[in-house]
Amino acid sequence: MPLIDIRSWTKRNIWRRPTGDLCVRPGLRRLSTLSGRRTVAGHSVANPWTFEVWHYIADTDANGKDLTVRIYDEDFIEWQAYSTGVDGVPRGFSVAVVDQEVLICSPDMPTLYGLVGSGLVLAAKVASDNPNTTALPIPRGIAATICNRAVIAEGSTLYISDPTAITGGTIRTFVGQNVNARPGVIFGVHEGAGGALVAVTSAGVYVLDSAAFAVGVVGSNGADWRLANHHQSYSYDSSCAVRGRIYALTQRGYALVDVENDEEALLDDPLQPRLYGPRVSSADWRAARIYPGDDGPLVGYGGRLNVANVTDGLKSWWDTDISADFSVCGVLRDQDGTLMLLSADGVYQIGGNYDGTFTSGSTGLPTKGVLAGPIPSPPQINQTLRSATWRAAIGGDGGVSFAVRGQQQVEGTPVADSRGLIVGVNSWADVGPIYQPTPLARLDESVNFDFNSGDLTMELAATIQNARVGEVLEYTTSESATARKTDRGAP
Amino acid sequence: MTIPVGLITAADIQAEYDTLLTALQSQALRGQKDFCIPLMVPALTTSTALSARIVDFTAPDDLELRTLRCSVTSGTASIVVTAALTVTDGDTTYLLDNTVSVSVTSVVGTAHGNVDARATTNPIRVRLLRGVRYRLSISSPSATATNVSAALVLRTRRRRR
Repeated sequence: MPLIDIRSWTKRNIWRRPTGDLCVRPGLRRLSTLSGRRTVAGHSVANPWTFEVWHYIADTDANGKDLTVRIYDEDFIEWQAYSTGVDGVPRGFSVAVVDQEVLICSPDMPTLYGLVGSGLVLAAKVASDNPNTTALPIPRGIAATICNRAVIAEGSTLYISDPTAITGGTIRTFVGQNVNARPGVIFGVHEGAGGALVAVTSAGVYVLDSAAFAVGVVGSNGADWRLANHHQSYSYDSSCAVRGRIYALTQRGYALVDVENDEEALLDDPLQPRLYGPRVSSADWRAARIYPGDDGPLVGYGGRLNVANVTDGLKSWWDTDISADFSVCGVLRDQDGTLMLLSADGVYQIGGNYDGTFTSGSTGLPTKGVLAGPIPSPPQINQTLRSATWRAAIGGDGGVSFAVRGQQQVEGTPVADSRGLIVGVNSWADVGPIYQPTPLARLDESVNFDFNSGDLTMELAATIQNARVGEVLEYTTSESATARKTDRGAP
Repeated sequence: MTIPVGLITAADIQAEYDTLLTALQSQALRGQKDFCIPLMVPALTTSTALSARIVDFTAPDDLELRTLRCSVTSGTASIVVTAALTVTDGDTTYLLDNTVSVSVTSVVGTAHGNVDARATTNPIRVRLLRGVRYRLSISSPSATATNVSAALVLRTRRRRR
């Protein structure tokens, strides 16, 4: 009985738990609808003195007007609502935080200033402590925090603030001596490895090492920009930093862009007959948005989210029917650093065994985790699939489903047998171990390969959140009597 | 709280009680508690020493500014008295460069004024930050005023860690 390692198969609603098990993703539970308007962006900032977490979240009305930046506390109780006086969805909504000072920035709205734990006001320049420099008006653009300074990129120009230290200085001071420019329009600024400033532009990815920030006029000590990667970006929110590495969206998916390389993570589902949901694909993935996750980048595309673990290469699209307005527009962190998803319709916690709201229970269908891929097939043989065995720890509540070439499936509660080997249960009650093979009834449908080979594709689905799923598939096939024609001519 | 008019029934009282209790419970769950920092000068003259018309305090934790109030009881009208919240060393950063003050013009009798910073949309929306020294002060008046008082109402949050 041949075995296939299905860990590399295409995944839908699959993730790997910290314990290392491959599982159906956990539930998505909406903690708060926030203001009830359309949420468009947000960031979480922890107060370094009190350890409280504050959430800065931008929203608009249903028509995309009246952009308002709100401050929420840890319980998502609104503390301040600052109306920016601007209409439109802000691109590149970003924050720069140094000590307790925060700048909220976007190219599409005035820059806001605040103290973490206090409110927001319109940012106004502050004179420099250096009498030989003159403060500039505070620019608007995309922001990042590098070496105790705020960095704001506006077009192709970079503004770097004075450093903040116990002796003085504020991130509201930008002077002409610390204005830089890059060859292309800057669409992303991030803190990279070693505290370096990484600028993702339309003319490449440039890096300025942290050593350049050791002097008052940045780079005057000889540390200079270097071209790290020739990747070109053309939109905001198309790059992010995860564990010091910079990822950017490409036409086919995303790639590491802080060093030159030719590796690319592809986001399209493979083209194969499908039963479990439509294929996720895009002609150009740069239209999506990328956010920093715990283990890898998160790519939001409409109502779907691609979740990646860069350590083991696992990638999976997640979808849900919890709400027609579910659309990830940012990520937040709670006071323990746990990731939360910011969606157009509120804040979602990743956890639990159902999709729904925090208080009213399940409002979505049980999640179906799917692995899909081909069964190896020599080109000269017509194969008939006779049986397939796969395991999933669904207990008595969920179902295991198989589909072959998108046409046939068998679904039902697996039958326990007497061998008593433990695969896993989704209940902590002491009910005894269950071994759950699910042999198919004999499939008499034969699949003829006239011209193609290797298109005996399967989809395996387990329906229930958090169910551990098997990483191998056992199957049996039989050959038909007549060999298939090959390009060598008829036998 | 809404004070009913006309015939007040037991159900009216129960409803108002329930509403107030719910609000207090939700505040208690969030560990929120309002407290007041008062300042009173029985006889405020043009030569009253600074030390007699200020109170300095260091915020033990982040405190939300709720209201700043001032009242003057006088037998003379048109005396202007101003109560203000500032940072003791003059650094306006810790009030986000806001001017938090209220001026009251006396009447024959008692006159009041207040700055209400409670609404989330209020332009003055600040929290006094932990470890920063703030000052509640009453300005030197244009003429002698009696019974001048100022009060800061601040709100705490439960410390979680």
